[in-house]
Amino acid sequence: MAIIGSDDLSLLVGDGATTEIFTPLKGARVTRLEITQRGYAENSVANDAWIARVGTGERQAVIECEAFANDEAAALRVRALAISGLAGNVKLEMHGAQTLQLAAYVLSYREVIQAGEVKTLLVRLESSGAGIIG
Amino acid sequence: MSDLALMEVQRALYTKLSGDGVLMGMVTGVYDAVPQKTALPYVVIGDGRANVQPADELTLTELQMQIEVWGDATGRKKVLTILNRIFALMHLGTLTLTGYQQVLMRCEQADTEIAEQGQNTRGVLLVRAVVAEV
Repeated sequence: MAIIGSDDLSLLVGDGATTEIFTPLKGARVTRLEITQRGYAENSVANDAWIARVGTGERQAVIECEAFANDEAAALRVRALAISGLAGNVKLEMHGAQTLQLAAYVLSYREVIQAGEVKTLLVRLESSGAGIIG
Repeated sequence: MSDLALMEVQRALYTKLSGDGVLMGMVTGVYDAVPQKTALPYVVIGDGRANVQPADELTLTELQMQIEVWGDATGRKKVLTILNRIFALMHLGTLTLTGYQQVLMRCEQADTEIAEQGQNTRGVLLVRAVVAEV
């Protein structure tokens, strides 16, 4: 067993080109990867039994990260996606060779600006469509 | 990360202070360890602290450096005048760094005190800098 540190995580942002090139969002610190799926119950109305599931569906991945702001292409791409409201492709490189690639919307983009401090970004990405596990 | 930023920033600090003709006209030198019988007043680059902030593909280091001015005990004015010159050089100023990009530099605290059983006046300027490894 290997205990996994968080330093291996890397969030890459696609450039939107036809043959897409992914570059790391430099200065990023991924703070959350959450995969949710909604469960469905088969219990009939007024049935007081324990809930029985018929399965799951509506899966979604959420990635949250904070980053030191910079002027590199990946950071500018995230901001452009937030402003345009369009989905873009991102890839999360996890421990070892594991990757999770998603088309995602930037649901939240916040620049934290405080005099005398480094400008930081808080970004929340929510997937749209199936993720590709690599 | 190849090395700590503290040494490079302190080297640049020394270069900046010792390269300023106005300051050097006010003091006898800028020192790390002060040689015996050095005439007052002089500047000492004091202790420093580096706080490394991990992020993806980017190493940001926040540094706190102490610059001391030692003068005789004939009053605080001479030490304060020298501190003023150092403040003018350092606050929102620029260091010439190798291997690092300066993000911020601010003077955050200044003090004077009577030291060495009343024989000297000591002024202290705390400088905060943030640098990114390039």
